[in-house]
Amino acid sequence: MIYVYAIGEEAATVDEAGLDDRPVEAVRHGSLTAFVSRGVRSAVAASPATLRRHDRVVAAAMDAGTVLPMRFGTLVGGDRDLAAVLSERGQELERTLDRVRGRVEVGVRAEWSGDEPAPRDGRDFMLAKLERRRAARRLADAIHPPLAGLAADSRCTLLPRDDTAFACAYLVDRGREGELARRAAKSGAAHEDVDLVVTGPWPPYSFSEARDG
Amino acid sequence: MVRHREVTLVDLVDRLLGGGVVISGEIMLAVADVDLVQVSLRALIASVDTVAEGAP
Repeated sequence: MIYVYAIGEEAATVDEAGLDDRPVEAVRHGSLTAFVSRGVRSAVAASPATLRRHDRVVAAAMDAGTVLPMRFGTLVGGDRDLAAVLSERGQELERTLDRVRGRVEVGVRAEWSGDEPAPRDGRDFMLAKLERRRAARRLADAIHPPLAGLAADSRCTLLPRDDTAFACAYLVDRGREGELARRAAKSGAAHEDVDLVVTGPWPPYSFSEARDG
Repeated sequence: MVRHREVTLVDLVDRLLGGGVVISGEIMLAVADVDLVQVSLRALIASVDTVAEGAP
């Protein structure tokens, strides 16, 4: 089996060890390059170690050029299958590569800073839940637009987890991460009910699928 | 408060299992069993929410 980490343009050497400690190879097909490991066993379980391994390989490939990360766990049977994917999806992948070129992903998530009082009963619980949703929406409406103004594209999820009001990903020009982080810091200081956590620069995980328009 | 580049498991899970290029159909021969992955990740999120082994 061939495990696929990312699709890029330039064939570059990636020194990071891949999954199952297999080496990482750059396989060229037309104008595209797939970063892969051969001989990976037939299923890859998601664990902190395997997720980090995948991310490190993608990040190393991104250091050498523009890449689109693959969803974790992507395996193809052999070289013919890989070539078929790159042929069939080639134009779409090239368009998406164009969109992320010279850009990185920055994550901003808003974690609730205070402890929630324990609900007295079921009605109280439902009301508290509703109020959380309203508060999360208000926070996202206040914090997200100025950050989106610095980005080429963005994605947001409201209330992705109990401890998080919203999580957004921004596609920003390389070099503007600091500006976005500073603006997020300003917003964070103005909103006491959440802690803003800024992470990145990431490979464009949240911007790798083709988008209309 | 703003923290930088503190990569937690939550950040990795959101991106690696929720993002990236998806190959559908017969080409994708095998992934780890989806139900198992989801179960184990829920456990991971609950237990190692704030693990930060430094920047990759």
